[in-house]
Amino acid sequence: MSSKTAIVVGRGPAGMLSTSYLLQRGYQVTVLAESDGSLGMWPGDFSFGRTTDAFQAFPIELSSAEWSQAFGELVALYRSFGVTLVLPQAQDIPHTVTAIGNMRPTFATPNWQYASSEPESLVFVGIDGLADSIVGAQAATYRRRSGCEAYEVSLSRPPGWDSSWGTIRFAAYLDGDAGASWLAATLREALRGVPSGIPVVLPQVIGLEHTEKLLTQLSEVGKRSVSEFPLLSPSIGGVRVRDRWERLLRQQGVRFVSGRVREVQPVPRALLTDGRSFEADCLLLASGGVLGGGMQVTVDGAIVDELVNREVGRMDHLDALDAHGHREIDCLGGGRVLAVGRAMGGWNPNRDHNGGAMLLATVRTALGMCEEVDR
Amino acid sequence: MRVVVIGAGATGLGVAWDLVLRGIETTVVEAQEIGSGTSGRFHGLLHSGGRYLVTDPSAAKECYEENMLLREIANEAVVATGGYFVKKYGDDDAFEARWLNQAADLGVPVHAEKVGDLRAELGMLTESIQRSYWVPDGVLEGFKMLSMLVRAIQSRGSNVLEHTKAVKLRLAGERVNGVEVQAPEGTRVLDCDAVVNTAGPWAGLVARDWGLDVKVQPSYGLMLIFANRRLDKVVNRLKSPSDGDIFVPHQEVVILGTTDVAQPSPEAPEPRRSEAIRLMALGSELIPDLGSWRVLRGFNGVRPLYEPSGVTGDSRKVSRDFAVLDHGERDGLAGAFSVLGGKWTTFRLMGETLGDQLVASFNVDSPSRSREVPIGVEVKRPAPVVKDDRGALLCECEQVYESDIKPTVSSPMQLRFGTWFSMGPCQGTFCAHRVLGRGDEDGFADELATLRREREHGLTVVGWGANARLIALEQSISAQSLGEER
Ligand SMILES: Cc1cc2nc3c(=O)[nH]c(=O)nc-3n(C[C@H](O)[C@H](O)[C@H](O)COP(=O)(O)OP(=O)(O)OC[C@H]3O[C@@H](n4cnc5c(N)ncnc54)[C@H](O)[C@@H]3O)c2cc1C
Repeated sequence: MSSKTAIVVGRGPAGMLSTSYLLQRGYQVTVLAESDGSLGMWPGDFSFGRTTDAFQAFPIELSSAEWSQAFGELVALYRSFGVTLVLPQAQDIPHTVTAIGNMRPTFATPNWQYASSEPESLVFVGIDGLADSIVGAQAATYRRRSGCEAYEVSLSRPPGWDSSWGTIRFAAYLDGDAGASWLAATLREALRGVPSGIPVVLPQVIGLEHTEKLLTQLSEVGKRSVSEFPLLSPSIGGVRVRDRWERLLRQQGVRFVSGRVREVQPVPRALLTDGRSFEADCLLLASGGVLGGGMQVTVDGAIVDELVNREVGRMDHLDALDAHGHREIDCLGGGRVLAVGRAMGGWNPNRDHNGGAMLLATVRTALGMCEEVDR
Repeated sequence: MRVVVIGAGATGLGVAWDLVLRGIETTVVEAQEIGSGTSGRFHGLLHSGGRYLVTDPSAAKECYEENMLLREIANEAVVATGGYFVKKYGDDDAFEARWLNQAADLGVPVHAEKVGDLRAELGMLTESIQRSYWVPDGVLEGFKMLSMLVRAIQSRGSNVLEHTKAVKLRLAGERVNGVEVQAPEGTRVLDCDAVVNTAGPWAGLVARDWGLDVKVQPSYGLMLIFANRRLDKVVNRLKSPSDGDIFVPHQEVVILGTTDVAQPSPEAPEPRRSEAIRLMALGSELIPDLGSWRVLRGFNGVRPLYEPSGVTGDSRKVSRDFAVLDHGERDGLAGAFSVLGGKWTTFRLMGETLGDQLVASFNVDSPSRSREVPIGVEVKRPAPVVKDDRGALLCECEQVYESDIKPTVSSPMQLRFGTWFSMGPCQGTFCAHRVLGRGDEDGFADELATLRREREHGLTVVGWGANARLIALEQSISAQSLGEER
């Protein structure tokens, strides 16, 4: 049995990624988190930036060989919990479509989610009774943004629907046999008259467990490619990734502790508000920055990482909030408390669409540092 | 007789309503949207007059009378909460004495309230209250009142035109006989016999376009909105009107206001964080625990204060009373009028006063009826919506369903007439696209961006604690989930 132990603070994408990679390197991992993290608001795709050479300007520099290795490992990791990530074939950065019809960059994308490196005509499908279904507005925006044709079709409300149905309820319904056959039949009907071959995009509610199977069936029914575009919150793509990933981590012996961390000390030690305390050989701070709740903004505008009691910046501008975080991954010095994901500053994923690269680069670097001090 | 009214705020619609009731064909032209000026950005207080008893007695008396009247004729848009004036130890005794005297003289009902009872009712108030008084303050539902006025005006065959800006007068000799307006369809002239400038803080600019000098002093005020209706009465500080001394409960929230800063421009400036912090400090003189209340956002409104002598400076000293100018008498421009200053609470009286002067100047005998005729128009109520006909739930914070969204209106401002979407804790982060996406498809992306910008600015002034996290969430949802450019 391994003697190396690690604590991960936070259960968002950075925390999960850290946990998996620590396990692979033989650590025993305890995850401390107050709540679920942002996975349920994230579609599950990894972005890389607007161009493939964006990494030149990243705060952490990796060579292109290191990047391909990183993405190779990521694909393998996703495969281990049952999600197929698709990497772009060519040098071009693919885009996905959003709930309002914009095209935004993506990179490694779960196979249920639409991604394409060229703008193309699409069929947008709306479902009556689904709050996020706004096909008319979505198609209008897509037409303007892509310069391509956007067809709109609307499916009626499913039988048994009522106003309390949110995305999770829709997904659960479509996971069942009745839902699956309802969808196949209504979609086949709705696609009549829409030119053949044009890919179809559906709101991301096509099941939680059987998504891949459902989409394959629908592609056969529609005789064209059928995939999903992600919605906001809860984002079913992220929920699928989260649930499958967590299940695997539990099987692999990870201990998940719910509680609010109050303080992180350089030992490293994490103190919870309920009085419990945890120690390990290294601690990865994946507390998500201001968004994740690990950092606070005070009334006079200071951005403070409360856990390590350090001011990391000031909120003077509207658009700067995201880029603030620790300046060094080794945020307390000593190489045992390491900031990953949004807890690290210098990246601006909202502007640069490089959140996925940020996760991979910070987590990989942090792991290198853990192993360094343990040697 | 035909009249063009410039500006569809409280004043313009109050004027139009009074004229329409006199049988005068009236067209209201509004450069932006109904209520997009000060009337959509005010504190929501239906004044009892209490606030102005000492500093502005005529405004106080008018406010009280209109307050009582609106409860009769526009009950649907008024909530008779009642309010308190509280005097802390150390606040000026002489002011209190004058305040009580004025209340008696002007007939504004004021009852002493035992401090113990008050604190039993509103436990969050400071312990250092010396005396307290009840007054008939209330809450004015601004958007509701505006939409009632629009419906009432339209139901009598007159018109309110949005996105229509008055640019020039057309004259026949010394007399107005038309107003040139710019609208998306182009420029045209509306024939009329008289024109009324009710452009609120813009009224000085409108008058300048007419070649006249009218001193309107725009003065902005910041208000902070707190989540949860923790108070259900208005609470005022009993001292000379000042900053941060009133709390008004409004639907599910409480609003603290305000400040008073003179500025040259009629446009509402972006709220400033330093001012929000100051307002929090002032508010906590009444509610010590205010710092722990969740602030939803801050917003500025611009008062259209009228300063007849043209002396500007301390805007709190400019009267809250209103003035009607007959530019025929004053400047030799017959048929042109301006209605300046005033309060939301006195919009009807301002309409009546203008109407009286206008018909008199045309030697027409047509008395005002706006005192008697209810503003609420009988609308055929749709059959009560059964649970599953409400459609999808679009805004979880404010429980707005698809069926609450009227398909004919599309702009965010108009949607707010009927619903409170995007006003709750998430500030539209999760629901704005759902609601706007059901409206005008081509204008959708722009409207969404505009709404988000407005919400973000409102949040940023109070961007600490939970709000900072919400801003981060909003920004990340907008960029990463919706793919909006930042
Ligand atoms: C911070 C603050 C708090 C307040 N609180 C209260 C309160 O609690 N209770 C109360 O009774 N009063 C309150 N008031 C006062 C009240 O809100 C105003 O007196 C009232 O709303 C003014 O209405 P208005 O119609 O004159 O102006 P506005 O509502 O500003 O209307 C003017 C309209 O004219 C339009 N316009 C301008 N130029 C043109 C043009 N050339 N052509 C066409 N249209 C044009 C504008 O777009 C605008 O819609 C408050 C004011 C402020 C600033």
